[in-house]
Amino acid sequence: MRSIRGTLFTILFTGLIAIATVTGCSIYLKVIQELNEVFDHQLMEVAYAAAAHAPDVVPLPSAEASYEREARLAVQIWKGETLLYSSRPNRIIPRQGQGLTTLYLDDQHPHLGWRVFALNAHDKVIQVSQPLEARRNVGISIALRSEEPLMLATLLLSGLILLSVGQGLRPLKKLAEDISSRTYTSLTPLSDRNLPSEVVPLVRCINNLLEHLDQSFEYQSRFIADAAHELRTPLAVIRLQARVLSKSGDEALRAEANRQLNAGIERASRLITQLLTLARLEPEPQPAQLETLSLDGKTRQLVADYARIAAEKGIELTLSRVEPVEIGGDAESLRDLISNLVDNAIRYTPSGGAVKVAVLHRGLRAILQVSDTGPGIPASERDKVFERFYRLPSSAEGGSGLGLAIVKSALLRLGGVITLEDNPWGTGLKVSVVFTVSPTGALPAEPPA
Amino acid sequence: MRILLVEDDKMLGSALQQNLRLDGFTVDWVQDAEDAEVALATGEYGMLLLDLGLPAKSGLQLLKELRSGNDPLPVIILTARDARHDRIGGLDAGADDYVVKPFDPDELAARIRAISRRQAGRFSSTIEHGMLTLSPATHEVYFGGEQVTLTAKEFSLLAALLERPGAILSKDTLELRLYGWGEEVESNALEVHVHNLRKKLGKTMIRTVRGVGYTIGDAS
Repeated sequence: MRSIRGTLFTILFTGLIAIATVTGCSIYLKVIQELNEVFDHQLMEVAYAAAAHAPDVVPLPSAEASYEREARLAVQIWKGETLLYSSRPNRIIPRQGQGLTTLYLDDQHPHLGWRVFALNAHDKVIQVSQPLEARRNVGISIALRSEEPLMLATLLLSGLILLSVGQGLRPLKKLAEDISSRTYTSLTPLSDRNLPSEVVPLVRCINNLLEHLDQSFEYQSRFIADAAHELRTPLAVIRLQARVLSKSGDEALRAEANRQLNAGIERASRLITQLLTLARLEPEPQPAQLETLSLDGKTRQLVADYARIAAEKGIELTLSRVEPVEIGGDAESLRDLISNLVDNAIRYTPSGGAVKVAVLHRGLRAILQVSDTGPGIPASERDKVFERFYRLPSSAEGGSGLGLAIVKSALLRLGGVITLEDNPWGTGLKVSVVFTVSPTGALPAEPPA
Repeated sequence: MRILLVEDDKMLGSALQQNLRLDGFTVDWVQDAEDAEVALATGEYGMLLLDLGLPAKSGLQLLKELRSGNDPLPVIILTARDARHDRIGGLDAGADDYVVKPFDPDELAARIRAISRRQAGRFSSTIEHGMLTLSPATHEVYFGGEQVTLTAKEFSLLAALLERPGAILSKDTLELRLYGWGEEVESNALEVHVHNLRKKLGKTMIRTVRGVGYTIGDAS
């Protein structure tokens, strides 16, 4: 796993060490170069001074000054071929020509060279020599002293890097702790107070997600509570009627109890089926996959399925007009939509009534109409009936209150608009669902976001 | 005992009414709080079974109004709402008991008997009067140690008279206690039941107070 801290440390420390090394080397080279000039100058000064004075008072550097001592100069004075004077008799360096020379005398130790300045003064030759090693030693010690601030600065910078990377990443660490303290029951938003501006968008995104999760959990738990609540009534009916069956001796009463018992079981089963349909539809409002569906074909098929139920209830179920038209969506949602509309119409229409279903194609619109001669829905209730478990106060049928909620969810996935109005040819309700048909006819319109 | 049941669900209301009748109760059933108020104003009820989720006015509202009018009528809440705060709210609003659907019908009947027993100031689950012992739970009646078989109406009549021994109950009151709405009452039905009870338990068991009604006699 990549770590921001690791990456920052690697880059910053590598960079710091490289910069410090380059700077250190260049300081060393500069010091050596300048020192050479200074020492050469010193060689010349000593030589001139020796030339100006008597040979016995050669102003050799004072042995007290460590710097001078380290210079390790030696003076030789020749007159003709005779060595008159040597300040360090054991340093034997052949006489050189006038000027500055660098000499390497020892073949075994080629680095042990000498820097020599020879000066022809009247009849004498004054030669001042210095081992290169002395120069190097002095150079190194001076360079080291010059590098001290650099090393100190490097150390301080390292500390600063450690501190600032740690400090900079602290909000992330705090955020991680904050997030890890959440459970699915406490999805309160994260605080973006005192957070760096780089982290705030992240926190906003997480909060957005948390809010959606919270709503989703809230929805689910409400759904479960509602479902449990709604199932209690048919279960109570079943239990009570079963008791009448087992306890009563009255045949007529038992026959009625048997009928009611089955009605209770039917009601509980229908409720469970509808709850499962709704649970399947609602968590993801977007369809799993879009296919091209034949609205007329599907409607024809489902109306045929309901023909027997309608006939048993004494209701005339007809397809008044069917025009071929295709819409986009998933087949299951369309089936849920049509069957719940037709089922509702049959359920609420009294015996002897009529239910008409029509599919129309008008330009870019496909229209599904279901009208009935039932009690209708008052205009003031038409918004509420799509809510889960909402039943009309006057409702006589033991409906689940889920039919239109399923229709609404299915419609969200299919992308259409539903309107409820008074049935123009009777007493009841007319439901119209309008879908948009794409101009090419091949692929469906996008469902609304 | 005559019970008023307030339940908006048709299937459940009718099932509950059937069951309570099996337990020997006289049950009137209404589907909303407004009808319940009308029934309570006119009827002789010993118990109110109240659903909370009623259309328009809620069951809880009805209960609060009942209690603020100092009505001592025992009330059992029947509801699908089982959350703790709902139960506490229901009991604190003046309910005597709180039963969550789907309840055990036998338990509900036992709770109704228990509450009416306490309401009548009795502690024993049987009613005793001289040589007569009556068990509301099992509908068994013993007279001088011998079990006597009574019809449901005869039992209810006897239980009504025994509720407050010494009290005289009018014919109208007794009919109200015995017959729910929609039950056919023959004009002399009450007299027939009284006659049968006297045959089974002795002539002095039920005394006629001429022009007023009936009272329980000495069971010697």
